[in-house]
Amino acid sequence: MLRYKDGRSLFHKLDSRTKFFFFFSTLSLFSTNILYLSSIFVFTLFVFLANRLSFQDIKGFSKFFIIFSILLVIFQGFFYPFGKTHLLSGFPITFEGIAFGFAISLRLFTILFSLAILMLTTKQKHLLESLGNFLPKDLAFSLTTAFRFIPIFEEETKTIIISQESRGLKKRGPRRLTFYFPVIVPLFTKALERAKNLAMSVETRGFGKAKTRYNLKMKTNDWIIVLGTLIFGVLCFWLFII
Amino acid sequence: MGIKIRNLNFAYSETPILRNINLDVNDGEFVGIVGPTGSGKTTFALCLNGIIPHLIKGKFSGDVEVSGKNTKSFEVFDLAKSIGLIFQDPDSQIFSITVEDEIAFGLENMGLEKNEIKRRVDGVLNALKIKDLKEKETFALSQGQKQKVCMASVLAMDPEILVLDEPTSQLDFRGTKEVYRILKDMNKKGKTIIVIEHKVEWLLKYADRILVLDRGNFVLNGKPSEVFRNPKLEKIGIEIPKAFRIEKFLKKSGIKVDFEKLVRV
Ligand SMILES: Nc1ncnc2c1ncn2[C@@H]1O[C@H](COP(=O)(O)OP(=O)(O)O)[C@@H](O)[C@H]1O
Ligand SMILES: [Mg+2]
Repeated sequence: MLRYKDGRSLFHKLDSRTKFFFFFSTLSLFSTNILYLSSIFVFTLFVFLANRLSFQDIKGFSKFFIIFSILLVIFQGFFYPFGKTHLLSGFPITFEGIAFGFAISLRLFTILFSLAILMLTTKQKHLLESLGNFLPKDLAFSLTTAFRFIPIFEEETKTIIISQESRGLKKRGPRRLTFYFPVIVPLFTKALERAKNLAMSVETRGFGKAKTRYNLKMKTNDWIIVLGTLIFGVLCFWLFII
Repeated sequence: MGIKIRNLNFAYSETPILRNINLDVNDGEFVGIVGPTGSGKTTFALCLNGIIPHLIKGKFSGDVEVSGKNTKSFEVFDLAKSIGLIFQDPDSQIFSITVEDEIAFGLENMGLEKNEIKRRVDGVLNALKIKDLKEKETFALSQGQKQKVCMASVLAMDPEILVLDEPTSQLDFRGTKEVYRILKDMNKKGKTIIVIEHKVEWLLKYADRILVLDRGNFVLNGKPSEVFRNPKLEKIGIEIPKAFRIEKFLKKSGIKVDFEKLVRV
């Protein structure tokens, strides 16, 4: 999971706002130009590796992303509405479709690496703090705690499945589709209960009242990264899109 | 100053949950609250630290005064500096990734200096003998350890009064014993302790006073040796400590004994 990983890299020491800026600049949501997307991807990958992050840290996600990308390329290959160049005569796979699927996959991977850079190098309280600058505090809180609850959720799902199975619920057979209802309902009840309790617990500890600011200080390195990202982004845009 | 409660009534919607509660708790007391499930123990605890009526709306009337502050006129966080509440389920209180961050959270919000925060975090870690957990990730802790981290994060804010809602429900004998040892320790240092508990043996051993909550009202209030000997107890649905059960049995057979010394620390 994308949990903070202690370290001494450049990005670990940056102001979290700088990292948010970096994250948003790499999203490149508006283009499907392959050269443009590839450059941004390589740039993001470079930053990922330069900060001593490893593929091991995002293993769980990448499996899902790889499968999804392959499906995406195949699907677009077949069904891309603007496809003209058929790769095999008589077979409805187009070059434009594959290129389009590839572009979207590139964008997905860029987002994955970029999100990983942000999450793995930023402490939760710093994320919370800078998110709190442009989101309502409750939303910022939900976003940053969602990740924290994933391991507990996994654990609970297992427990609930075991308890439902021991009462005769079957995973196989004709009722397979309805299997997850008796699992999801208690899971949600528990999640709601938990969210309510967590809200009470953090309220008593003064959530949202922070007077001390820990991390919000833009240093030279921050400005260099902001400027570098900006220049790189504009350069790519100018080279490949205009 | 302690706690002063006058004519407290509360209902989440229509059904009254707390009915006309009047109660005083003095500074430095160690109070145990028992009562069947659904009798309103947790609701009562939420009234003490201001979550009711501030966060949970409902039909609230009466006055709750904690260390001289009426809960109606102070915010939850301001009350938290006087009264710390440790909730039942540790999993739904911890939200930070590391133990250190979790404990520092309340302190940071209090606006303390970095060094003071460090000092206090180390202080509670020492007091609860969990120094080795400082840098651990919270999700990987055992239930007992999580429970202690919750206690630490509240204790760090140094409230005069500590309220614990079934703190040992997930703990085994050893864990329970440790929690009570810590509570007694805190109590000796002057903290007021209010603990909601099903394991009556522990209350008999440690508490100065027992309150029995039944359908929203404190029906019994007195020394553990009196309350736990009260014949009404079983009807309400509360377990009688072993020693007093034996005592009663022997009495019926004509043998007079006093087991109180046996069970008190
Ligand atoms: N948030 C809530 N909304 C409505 N009813 C509640 C809520 N929380 C508790 N109750 C009800 O209030 C009563 C007392 O609950 P609670 O204070 O949790 O009792 P206890 O802690 O003694 O088991 C129960 O009947 C319960 O169903
Ligand atoms: Mg309860």
